[in-house]
Amino acid sequence: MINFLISASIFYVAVLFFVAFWAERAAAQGRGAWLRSPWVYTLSLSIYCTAWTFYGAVGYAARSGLEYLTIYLGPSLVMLGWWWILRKLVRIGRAQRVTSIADLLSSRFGKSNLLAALVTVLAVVGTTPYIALQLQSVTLSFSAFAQADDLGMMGAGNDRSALWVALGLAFFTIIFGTRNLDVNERHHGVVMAIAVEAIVKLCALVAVGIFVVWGVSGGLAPMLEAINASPHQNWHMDNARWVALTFLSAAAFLTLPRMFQVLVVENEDERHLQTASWAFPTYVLLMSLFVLPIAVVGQSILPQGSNPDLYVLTIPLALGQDTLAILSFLGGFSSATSMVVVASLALATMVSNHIVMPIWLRYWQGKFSAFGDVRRIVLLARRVSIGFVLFLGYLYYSLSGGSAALAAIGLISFTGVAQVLPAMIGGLFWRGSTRMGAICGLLVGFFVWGYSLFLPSFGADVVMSANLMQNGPWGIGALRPQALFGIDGLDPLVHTIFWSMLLNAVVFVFVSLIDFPSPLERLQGAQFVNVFDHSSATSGWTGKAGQSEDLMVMAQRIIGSVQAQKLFQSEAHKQGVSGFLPEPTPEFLERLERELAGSVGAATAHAMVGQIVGGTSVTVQDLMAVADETAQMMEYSSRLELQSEELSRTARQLRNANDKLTQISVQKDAFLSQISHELRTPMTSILAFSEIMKEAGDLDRQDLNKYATIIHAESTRLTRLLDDLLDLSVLENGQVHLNLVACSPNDLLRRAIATVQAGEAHRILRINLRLSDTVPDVITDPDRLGQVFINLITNARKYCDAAAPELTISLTHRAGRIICDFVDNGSGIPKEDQEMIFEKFARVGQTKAGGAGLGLAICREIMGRLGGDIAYLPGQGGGAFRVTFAVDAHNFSGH
Amino acid sequence: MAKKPPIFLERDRYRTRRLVDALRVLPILAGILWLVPALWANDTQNPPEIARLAIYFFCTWALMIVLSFALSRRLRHSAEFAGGIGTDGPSAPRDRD
Amino acid sequence: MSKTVLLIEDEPNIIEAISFILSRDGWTVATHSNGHDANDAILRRKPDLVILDVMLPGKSGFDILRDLRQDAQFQDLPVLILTARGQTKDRELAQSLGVSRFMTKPFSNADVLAAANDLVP
Repeated sequence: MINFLISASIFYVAVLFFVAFWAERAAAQGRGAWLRSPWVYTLSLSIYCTAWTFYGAVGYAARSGLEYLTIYLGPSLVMLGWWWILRKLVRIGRAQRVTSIADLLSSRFGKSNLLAALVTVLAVVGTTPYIALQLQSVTLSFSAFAQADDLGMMGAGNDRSALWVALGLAFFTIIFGTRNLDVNERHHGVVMAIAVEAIVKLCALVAVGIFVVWGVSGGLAPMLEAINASPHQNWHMDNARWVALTFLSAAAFLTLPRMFQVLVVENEDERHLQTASWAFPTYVLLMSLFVLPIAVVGQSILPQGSNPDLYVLTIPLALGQDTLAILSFLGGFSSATSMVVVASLALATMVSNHIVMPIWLRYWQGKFSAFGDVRRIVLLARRVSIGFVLFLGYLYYSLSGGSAALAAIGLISFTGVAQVLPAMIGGLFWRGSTRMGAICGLLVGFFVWGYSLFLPSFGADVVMSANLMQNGPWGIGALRPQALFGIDGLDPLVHTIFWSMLLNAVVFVFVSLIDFPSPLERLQGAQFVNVFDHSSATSGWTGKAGQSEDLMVMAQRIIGSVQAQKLFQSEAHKQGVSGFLPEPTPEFLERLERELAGSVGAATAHAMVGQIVGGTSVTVQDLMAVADETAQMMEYSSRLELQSEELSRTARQLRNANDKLTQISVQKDAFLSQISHELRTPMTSILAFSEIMKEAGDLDRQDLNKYATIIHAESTRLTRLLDDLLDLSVLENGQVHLNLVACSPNDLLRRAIATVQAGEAHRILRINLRLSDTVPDVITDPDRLGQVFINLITNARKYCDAAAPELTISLTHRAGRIICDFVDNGSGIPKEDQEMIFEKFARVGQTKAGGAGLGLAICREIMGRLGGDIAYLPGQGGGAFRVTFAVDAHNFSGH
Repeated sequence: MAKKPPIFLERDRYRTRRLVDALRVLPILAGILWLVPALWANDTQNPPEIARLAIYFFCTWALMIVLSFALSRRLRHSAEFAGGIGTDGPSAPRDRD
Repeated sequence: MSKTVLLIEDEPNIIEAISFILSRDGWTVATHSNGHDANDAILRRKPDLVILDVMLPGKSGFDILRDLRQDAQFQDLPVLILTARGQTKDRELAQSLGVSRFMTKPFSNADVLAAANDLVP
């Protein structure tokens, strides 16, 4: 049967891979509306129920009666009270593009990386034992089957199965968790797989429960009698533990990194909370409904000394229900794997954003030109972190080995991560809380937890000497780890929860009261606490004109060129500027920083933007807006300042417009002189040679032929010029007739290249063609579009000034539009000329290189007619043009 | 009677506000209900049976779920009707940028 | 010894035509086809006549003329400007710079020949 079990689990894993892959694809193709349903969201929250729930809850109930309920009542309270905390948390998470719980605190307390790193370390320490627990549950359940098979699985095999599980999970998480960088793009594959696993584990547990109640005990009433007759009948509530555990599980629900990941980061829509507010409590209610019956039945039918943590599995096995046992095994497997995947993903995000990236950024301080593609580095860091976290979990598992040490680890882990709670709640609701307060509170809470619960949990004489635990350090009784301040007799867990949370919160509040926050902290504090009041954020940066291109270069390296260009273009469009370079207004910089934060976390994004924009980041009026206490007059003067800044911006835009107009008028003037020159030059040759041929009778045949050829060539040149002029005037007047047919952009490009290369080549231009198979046929005018392509390629050949000129043409298809980029390796077009090149008769510089400067003007007109656009693409390290057009030009042309 | 419509609107807004109040009270109510058995436990003469306790917890739990379901249902309808209830209202879907 | 002319022009066909016309009349024709080192070419060849285009790559004909007239030994060198830009202001500019003759393209072969022979009798 063990072999069947192994094949069943491999098959199950394959199904999960398929589901994740399929969900990713559906999301990528934009047809996954159901992926964004509140049901998937609710199911993904079920990673709260790990293997510790699936197997451990029954064990817990067998040992401590109804107390296991507290672990589920706490989160139910949080969900029922979503209006209080979760609503705000999710809103902030979305508004600030928060990537993890560490990022949330860092962002709130002045984008402090120290704080983020601290929370990250705390989370790693608190979560590693938990991951080990999941690995252990899988190996234990394996060996339960092996025992049923009388194989008596050997210890080494145990270890090996844990290793395989860890490797498999690392593989899955890396594939589906680090596919895209921006955490806010959400991991549809992972979330979908988790949702499926949520259903499997619920079904499995409920199935075992129904079997136990109706199959074994013979119905509800006999079951209740059996419960009352069981050793649990004397169970009574331990009030202190009851309250402490409910509080603890509620706190952990909010602060566990994996819960934060699914609750906030992966949240698609705030309204999903409304559904989850009753659906998630329903889920955990169902999960815990049959726990006590299973425990009671297990105790009565299984031999003395069997592990209650495995009753869910061993009851069906003992009663010969193999199918049910396998279902139950898959349920436990699901619980373990989904927790490990999300936890390692969340931790990896934190480790890479708050530990690896800051170190890397410091190392490369300011040298943005030296950056490669930052995205690749972040993704690599994240992948390595996933491996690292899982390795830690495995290491912990194989070192601690014994099940006894791990059984209690769930609550210990909860208590550790719950230390984040005071800073989190304070940050959300109290503007006076400061970075220093948060750091001190965290450190104190973390220390108390480690000293009084975590280290003693290994047992006497492992980490702490028995003497120290008995008598306290240096014999000071008040410092005994499990009886701080001489208060003895408390349950160790309650003792730690009480003291760590109390001291944590007291220190946090006290330090916050005496500390004075930095301007950025106050700004962020106001944005967090009053997130529902100002949905539009106050600005933090003051940029100077001319930094846009640097910003674009950086943004492309972090969020990818596609995203970056889209962002810059939409902002430019909003500002009424054409092209890709918007004014670096404070609003835009703020928006840019938030986008970057979605990839690398708030602190790193802030540092990166700061390196380019430089200088102070919080302006006077920001603080004015933040500080309610500021006098009315100052508010007024800040408004004036704001207005004057706006005025100067408007003036700058006006000046730009005026410059452009003057330039156009100068060009119009030059037009006559230009046209006269362009017409006279060929005319001169024609006249001169025709006169020669007419007057000199003694020319031989060869010369005559040569002169006739010259006359012919010059006449052609004249004709072409006239054609261009007419073409442009027709295009400009909109009288053009388009011949729209279906054709393949790939073919059009190949044909254009062939045409250019067939012509006389003064220079050799290497062309790298990156076509795309997924580009559909388009409906357009192939001659006109081809004309644009030919023009751009010819331009590159003429003007690219690299020693070995190279042109890269890439074709992509995005959101119903075809995008074709022409990027050469020359020095590109200077910023001040980028505006003018599409005007008539514009030629960059004063060089004369044939052509009348009508080419790009014609291209622009053509693309306009075809429902597309042509623009200069800055920041590509060379001359670069982007041609975009619709798949179907019908919708745009005048037909 | 031309001035009536604003009154209706106000009334609706008022309803929505009270709905939110109910949402806020719900977890407090749940917390209190789940602490009540702590009082029974003091009754050492006649300690409650564990099965009864379990039934009590699951029933109150289900009750809370039903209440939460009803409230979020109503909130959705009223929010749609009023088009959001000001700054502190249920969030409209954030427009993506 | 025949008269020498230096033709500074960048259109190959026009070079061809003028060379043909002048050499048939007994001139020795040298050509130069860019602007930036045109002054060096004049200094090296010391021609009897310079025929100069205005729109040249590297340096405009007007600049070449201005630099040429700065040099004492070329104060009186005959310079014929032959340009496709025939606007009045171009002509005035050329005259102020000390051009000997200003002609616009297109030209009749006979006129060019007459002008050349007129400037260098």
